[in-house]
Amino acid sequence: MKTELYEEDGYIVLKAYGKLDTIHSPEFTKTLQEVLQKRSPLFLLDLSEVSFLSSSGLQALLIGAKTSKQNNTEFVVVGMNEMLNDVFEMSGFNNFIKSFNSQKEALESL
Amino acid sequence: MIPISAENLQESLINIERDVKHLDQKLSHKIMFIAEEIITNIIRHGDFGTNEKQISFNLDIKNNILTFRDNAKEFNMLTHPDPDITLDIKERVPGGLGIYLTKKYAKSIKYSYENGFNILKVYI
Repeated sequence: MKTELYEEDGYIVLKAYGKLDTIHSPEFTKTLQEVLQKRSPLFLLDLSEVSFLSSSGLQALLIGAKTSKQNNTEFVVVGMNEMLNDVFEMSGFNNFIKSFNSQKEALESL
Repeated sequence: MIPISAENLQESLINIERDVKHLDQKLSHKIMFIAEEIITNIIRHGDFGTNEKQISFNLDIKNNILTFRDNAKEFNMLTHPDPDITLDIKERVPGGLGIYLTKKYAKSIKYSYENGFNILKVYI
């Protein structure tokens, strides 16, 4: 699964491409875990180029959010489309992961 | 019914996706979501014993019905307890969301066990 990593002063952005489904989520979870070892105060997961989120993808987000909590990193999701957001909210993930429409909106709000 | 290969799940999902691509984006997303969750569940958790795995799927788009059929031991996944989605991050554990979200997306779901096959009909 294609991902891009940007490191800025005080935050990190990981942008994912494609589908967070049962096929691609295991590899994505590994990437996410590696990136979170960098222990930045703020981590933005950009899902604006992700078209599909299944329970396997949610599992990756949960693992990422739990790791971030342990590392005192703020774990934030940005750019989800309406369908991804539905899955995210129906699962109650909005109770413990902040979500914003864009990177810009997240950076201005945090 | 279209046969689903447990050994090549990716190809099976791509084939289903091809059939729903022309539909409204929200509807095709819902179908793909349910198809992936149920088929993955059957492959990962179905107890096939010594049976040669037989899994199949049918999409009746006219009536909005997804049908899943498999010859694993009798198991009604609807009896699986729902996860508590109100829990805090510390208490949340992975798993159980696929069936839970399928129930949320569906208008109704019917399970039956007939002639050695689990049959799950998801009405969307």
